[in-house]
Amino acid sequence: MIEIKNGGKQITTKYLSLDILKNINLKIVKGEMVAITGPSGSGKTTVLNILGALDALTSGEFFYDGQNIAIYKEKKRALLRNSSFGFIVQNFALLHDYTVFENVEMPLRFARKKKKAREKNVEAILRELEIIGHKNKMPYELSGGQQQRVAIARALINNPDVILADEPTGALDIATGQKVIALLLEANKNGKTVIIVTHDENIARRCKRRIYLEDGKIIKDEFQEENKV
Amino acid sequence: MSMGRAKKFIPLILVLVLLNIVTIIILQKVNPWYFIENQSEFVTKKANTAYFEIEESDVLLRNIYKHRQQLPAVSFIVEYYQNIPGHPINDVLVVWENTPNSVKFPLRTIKSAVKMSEPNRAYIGKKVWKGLSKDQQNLFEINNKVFPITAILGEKGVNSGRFDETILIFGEALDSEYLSRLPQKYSASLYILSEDTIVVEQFRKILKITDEAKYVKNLDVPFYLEEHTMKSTLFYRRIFMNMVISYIIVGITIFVLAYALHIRMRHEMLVMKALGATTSQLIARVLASSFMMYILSICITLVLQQLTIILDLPFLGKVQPEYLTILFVQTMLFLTAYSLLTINRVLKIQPALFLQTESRR
Amino acid sequence: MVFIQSILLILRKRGISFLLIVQASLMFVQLAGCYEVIISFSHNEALLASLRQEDETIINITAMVPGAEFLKEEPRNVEEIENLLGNTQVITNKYYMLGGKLNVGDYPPIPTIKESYKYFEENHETEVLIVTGPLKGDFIFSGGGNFSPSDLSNDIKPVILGDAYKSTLKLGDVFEVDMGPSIGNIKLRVHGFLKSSVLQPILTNYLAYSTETFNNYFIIGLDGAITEMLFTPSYSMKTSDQIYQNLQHDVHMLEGNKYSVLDEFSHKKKDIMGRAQKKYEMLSELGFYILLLLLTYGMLTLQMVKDLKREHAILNLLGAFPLFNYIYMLIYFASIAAIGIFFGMVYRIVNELKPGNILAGVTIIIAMLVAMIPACIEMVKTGISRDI
Repeated sequence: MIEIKNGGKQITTKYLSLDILKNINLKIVKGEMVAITGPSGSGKTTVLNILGALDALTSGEFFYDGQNIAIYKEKKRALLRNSSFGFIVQNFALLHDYTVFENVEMPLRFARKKKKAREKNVEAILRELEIIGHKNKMPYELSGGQQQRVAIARALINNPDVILADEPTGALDIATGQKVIALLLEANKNGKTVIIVTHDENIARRCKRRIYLEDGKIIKDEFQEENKV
Repeated sequence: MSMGRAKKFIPLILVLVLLNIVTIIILQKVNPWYFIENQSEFVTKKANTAYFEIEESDVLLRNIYKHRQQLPAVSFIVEYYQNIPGHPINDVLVVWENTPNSVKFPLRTIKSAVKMSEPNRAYIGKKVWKGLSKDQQNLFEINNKVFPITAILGEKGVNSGRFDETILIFGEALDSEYLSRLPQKYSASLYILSEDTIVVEQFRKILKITDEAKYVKNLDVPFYLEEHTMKSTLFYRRIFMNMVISYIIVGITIFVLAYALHIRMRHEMLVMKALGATTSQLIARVLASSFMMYILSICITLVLQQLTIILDLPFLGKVQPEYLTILFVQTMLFLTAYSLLTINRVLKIQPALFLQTESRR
Repeated sequence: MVFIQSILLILRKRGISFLLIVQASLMFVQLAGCYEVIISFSHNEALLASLRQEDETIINITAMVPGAEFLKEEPRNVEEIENLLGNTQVITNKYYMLGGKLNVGDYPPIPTIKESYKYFEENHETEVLIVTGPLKGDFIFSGGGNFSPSDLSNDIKPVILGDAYKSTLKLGDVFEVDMGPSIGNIKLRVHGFLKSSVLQPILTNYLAYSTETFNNYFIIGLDGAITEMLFTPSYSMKTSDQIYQNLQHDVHMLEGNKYSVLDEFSHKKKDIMGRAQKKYEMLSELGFYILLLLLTYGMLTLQMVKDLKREHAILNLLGAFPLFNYIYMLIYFASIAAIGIFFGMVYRIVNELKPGNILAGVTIIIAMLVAMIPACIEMVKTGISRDI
């Protein structure tokens, strides 16, 4: 359902022109769990940006569910992000001036859902992730693991098809990190496509497919046995 | 909106409230006739209002008193003013018919056993009222003569100028020793109110007002009062310049605060973009917060003003309602500028920065 | 090197820096004005306080007397008025504008300066006070002094000038003034200069406070005969028969609810009351501007520090002492304020360090430093490993 054909991303500044991504050809089907790995500066975050419709390719095509996203204007891409993608990042990206409830509710507001429906959905997901007791707290009052769970709740609230995670366990201890990965695995079991950018071998090994990037190019793209740790 | 989110707008709201307070103070200063216009209200009720400006006030007054019996029984005001460059101070003296009860000032009566027809009574201004000792507030003594106070001059919350510092007593109660000095030079205007135009001619003849005196019929009294107080434009020019400079300073403050707010909200906007907010949704949020600040700053200013009036403090007072529109307009202008600045920055947000800022902070 | 890097981080904000300079210079002008008025008033107050009693409250008495008769006799000339009033001082409050700014119809003939003394530019506004006796009250002179009654009977009349004319005229100079067709030219000799920027007492009756200095004034002493030709002074007077009329007095509060009517107009005391109010107004204006300064610098520096936290953490890693970071910020904003103050001073065309200017400059710098305290606290909290 996600396809990049001859994708390239070039950044042009006053002094130089840089190819961040070169000739990317990538196809991810629904329900896959993909790990994207590679050394620093290989373009992993850029790939995730493209996949999540946060950024656009400078060359090539990007198809999502058969639609060519490359020609989309920012407004359409925003709507797509809201309905189809969920983001989980290393530093959680929570809004510090809003409560947990309001943070999780945010995507539903942008989707213009009615108030009652929003409340119902938010309460349900908070309960599912066992953070309902913190719904009126501010993010800085929570531990790292709790914050990441709030971020996951927010990512899942709109029932997106794709979850994009960039180093989701980077700021967490091992035990908490394991719990977070378990949640992602469960989401994958429920039919969601999960794409994780990570340096962590343990996480990478748990994914069905592994894409190895280097210098803006895909060096390896292989399916692997799920390795349970 | 939770308190946490509203807190970041407090500096902006504070600046707007301060500006509004300063505006009210200046409006009170610039409009010393607010109190007097209550007098002019009764002046303009009659159909014909004639106005003479006469240079020799003593001649006029002398004639008024001398020929009082001959004059038609109508109300009139004689206005004195001194022209001092830089400060238009004006006194209004009301002369009325032969009844000591027809004082046209706004009065707040004090419960007193003294009859209104009693000559030995006094009306006092509110500053004098406040200065009187608490236990003996209804009486005061001048040169060993006791006067009971019947009423306070002026409305609550209105700066009545000199009348706030005035004791008004009735001539029959005075004896000769009070006559020590006489008022210095004034210009005078005589307003004659009558439904009958012939009366004006009678006045002119009786009071020997020559044709050289300026005569205007059916005048707009407040306008005339105002015009004559503005013989020195230096006062108003200075106030105008001060306002312009203050506006520039406040404008820069708002710009800087908007910038600081934008720094704080940059992250928030970026996250919202990543979550799928369209630009128009973000702009709507900016406008909503502007609107909230507008309502809050206006309400706080008006509440402070009302409190000052109720508690009769000298700080903020009554200002004519039409002048209050300045508050609404200036707050709106500044908040429009703030909104435009913020919206401009919202438009420049690149969602692609989301992962770069959030992942490797 | 670290210092330069730190400054460069902030210098990127060129637009904001420019606006802060404009704001600082405008604030300087306003604050200096406020301070000068306050200092003037304090000066006058101190002087006048030595002449007055404690705890005075000035009240006006206004008597409304219907049916009262007016004068029996008409005033003839100024001298008679003066004798009856028992006051050697008559001050008119008609003002002439030299240079022809007013419409002739509004005022008596306007005197104009002869062409041989071209120290007036076109449309220069000068205010003229005509007196028929020596100045009464505590006028403060910077040169020369008050004239005596005998000076008025000379052919050359005395004139006391405001400070604005000090650069072009000196004590003893004689020049001619055209006092209009009915009088013609009269000669004036410079008898004294009033001290600049001091609000001299104004000897009129119901002035609450003066907002003008006498810097631009001419105070011409003329004898009664000439003034009579200019206009008829009109005073309402009493006679021995105690005729009532609408009158206004100054009343002096004794204690409690007791008052006594004063024998003379207490001009000075009226002045003091008005000036106290003016001082209060100036202080409120000061407070307004200082608050704005605090908010501007406070919010801006706080948010900038939070924004630049990562950069500062890196600088600390490179060897900068954390404390120095905020010193650099202080230096930067102090420079901004100093540049603004400089432009403000240029605008005021100051060639001497007047107290108002010094106070204004100091106020801006101190307000800015105080405003930056929260930002400095935030900066000190920067930790290398946490913030990179």
